[in-house]
Amino acid sequence: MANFLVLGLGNLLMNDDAAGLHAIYALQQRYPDRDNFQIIDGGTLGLDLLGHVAWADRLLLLDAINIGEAPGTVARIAGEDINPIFSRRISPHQAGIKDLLDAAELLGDRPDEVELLGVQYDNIQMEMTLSPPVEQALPKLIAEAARRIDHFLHEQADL
Amino acid sequence: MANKIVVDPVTRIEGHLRIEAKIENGVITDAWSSATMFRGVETILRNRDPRDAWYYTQRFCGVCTTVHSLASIRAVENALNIQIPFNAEMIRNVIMGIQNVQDHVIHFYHLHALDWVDVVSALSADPKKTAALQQSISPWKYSSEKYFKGVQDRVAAFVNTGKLGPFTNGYWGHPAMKLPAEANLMAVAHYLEALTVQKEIIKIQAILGSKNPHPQTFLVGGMAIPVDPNSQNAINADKIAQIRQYLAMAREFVEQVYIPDVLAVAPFYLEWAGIGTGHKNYLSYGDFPEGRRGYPHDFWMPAGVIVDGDLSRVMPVDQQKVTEYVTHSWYEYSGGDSVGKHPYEGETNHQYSGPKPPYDFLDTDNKYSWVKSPRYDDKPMEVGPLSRMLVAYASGHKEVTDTVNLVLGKLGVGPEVLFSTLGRTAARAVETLIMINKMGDWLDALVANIKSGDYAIHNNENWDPATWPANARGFGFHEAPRGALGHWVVIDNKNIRNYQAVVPTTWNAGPRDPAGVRGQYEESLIGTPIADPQRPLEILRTMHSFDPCMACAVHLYDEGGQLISKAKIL
Repeated sequence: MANFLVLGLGNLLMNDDAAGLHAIYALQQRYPDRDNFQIIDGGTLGLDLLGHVAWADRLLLLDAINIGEAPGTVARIAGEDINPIFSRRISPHQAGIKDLLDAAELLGDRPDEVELLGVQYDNIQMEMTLSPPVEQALPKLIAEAARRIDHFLHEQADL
Repeated sequence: MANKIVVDPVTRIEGHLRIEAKIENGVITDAWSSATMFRGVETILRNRDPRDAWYYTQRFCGVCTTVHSLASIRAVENALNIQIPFNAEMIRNVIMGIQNVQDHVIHFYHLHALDWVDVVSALSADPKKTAALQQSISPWKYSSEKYFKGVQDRVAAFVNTGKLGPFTNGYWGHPAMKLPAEANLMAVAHYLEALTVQKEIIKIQAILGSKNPHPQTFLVGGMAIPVDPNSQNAINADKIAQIRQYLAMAREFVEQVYIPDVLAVAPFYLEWAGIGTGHKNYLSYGDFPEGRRGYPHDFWMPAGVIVDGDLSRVMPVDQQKVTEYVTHSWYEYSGGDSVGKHPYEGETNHQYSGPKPPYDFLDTDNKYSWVKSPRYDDKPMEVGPLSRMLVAYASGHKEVTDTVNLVLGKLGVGPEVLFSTLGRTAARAVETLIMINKMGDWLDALVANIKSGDYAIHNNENWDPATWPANARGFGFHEAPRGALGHWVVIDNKNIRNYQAVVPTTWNAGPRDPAGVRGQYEESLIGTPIADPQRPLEILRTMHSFDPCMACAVHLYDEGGQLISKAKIL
């Protein structure tokens, strides 16, 4: 049985950086954890998440991103494109998500499928308010994630 | 001929640290430490309910969630004069203890070891000889030739995919790398084992904290998890038994892998017992209360201050002597930047005056860092495992003294070598060992207390704001894995008026003070030989020995110029 992890990333205290976490909190209200399904607020943690990531066969990351699009743009990055975006990120974490996935791979536990749903941020100052375009994009981010969760749960039900 | 070099960023740390160093005749003669990212989270707490502060402070730092929660609830409990039940105190000790053990294991293997271990050399080691080496230093279960061949193949396959991953930025083949190939392979194997061990043992916090990875169990006045031998959701015999299993796993790893590794590697690098010294001033707030009087009494790990390396004299800690300067930091103080401020009066008004990026060098004559300069009694202090071990050693703490003497004896050196890069790394290992051996006692005390019929976990006497004075202030200290952590809270009319955190890395990484006295990182680099200025591995060794955590906690993906990944717009 495949394990599906939905992992929200970002700093709750830095405005738009918290977008992925807000999406997670909404999803947690709708989808209770199951034996093979979890939604986790990963915050800005690195290696502390290894246990969760190693558990997962399928990993869906929700985060604020910078891809040079208009603030609030929701985008998907997956497959071979995942590695470059992780390695080129400018994060204060050296031991961040990239190292986390590398560590999982070294242990032979990297999830088979890794997908990132991101929202282009506008303002990442140290406060706790989403900028209007990101706030408006949240339902879309949540709906995209929910679609994948529903699909997974239906697959499970069919087994 | 002087030559200034820049290390930016210092890799394999949490967060962003920049070092500028002046090198003359192959030796560092001056150094500047700078955090180039702003970290001003304290302002977020203003006007909030102090009972909620821990929830926000948990997100201060990218990675150290537990420690900021704890310092925060202690500060509020101190302000409101709340003593917590014995059960809660013991649970906090267990949570703090395993945090220390896990952090130290991660630090040694995943952040520091690659300064001493050459991964590329490990690929050419003889697995049979590696097995013999392993068997000669400890009874650790994974010691066969087949096992080490398997590790070698696994790492080679990973490296051959072209992505070095965690091994990027290593100074492979550097002349300062001294280990034989077999020792390198053994260490790389333990790097992998440590990944597994750390992710298992931290589950203790999930058992006690109910929600991982951000603990939800903290509560001003005690803990949120109930104690009830008859409930599935409370602390019960099953949970205690699970915790004991994880403790046993951690202990086996520390005793059979971590400590033997330090003892096996250190002899190749003994010159580092004379490098990286610093000011030789050490501060520990003390922690792990064991008695019925609660925090801050009856500490297992003692509080104290040591000045100028004088181990014959340990002075008591007085929090009033803590001040922070911004003379060389990108902030402005209302009373002028040359006067220090106690954290109760602390201010976080940022005012960047550094060069516009991209730049070659910072203006180190003026302001050059986002980190303030904390001083104790106007002296720079080092904090961390070395400070704790020295304060405990000089105070005659039995477990510390015995273990330190054992390690020194095995290496054939005296206590003076502790004031060094190697000393810092050894002190962290010693602390991990005595901590994992101690933790069972706190669990036993908890179990005995529950058996006696005491199920109290929360003191709600002063929970209701109606019981609070109009004005209150308090401080909360915690000896976090990286060292002395302090939170100061000022409460006015039930809400937070001022909140200041002086974190361990601020003590160690701060810039110069108004008198021009260097910070601890800066001072510790003076006199360090640099074999190759293009590859300053030696700077990394000393910086990593402090276990820097600059994590100002933004966590974003950025294309950093041209985006290679294809993003599909939805």
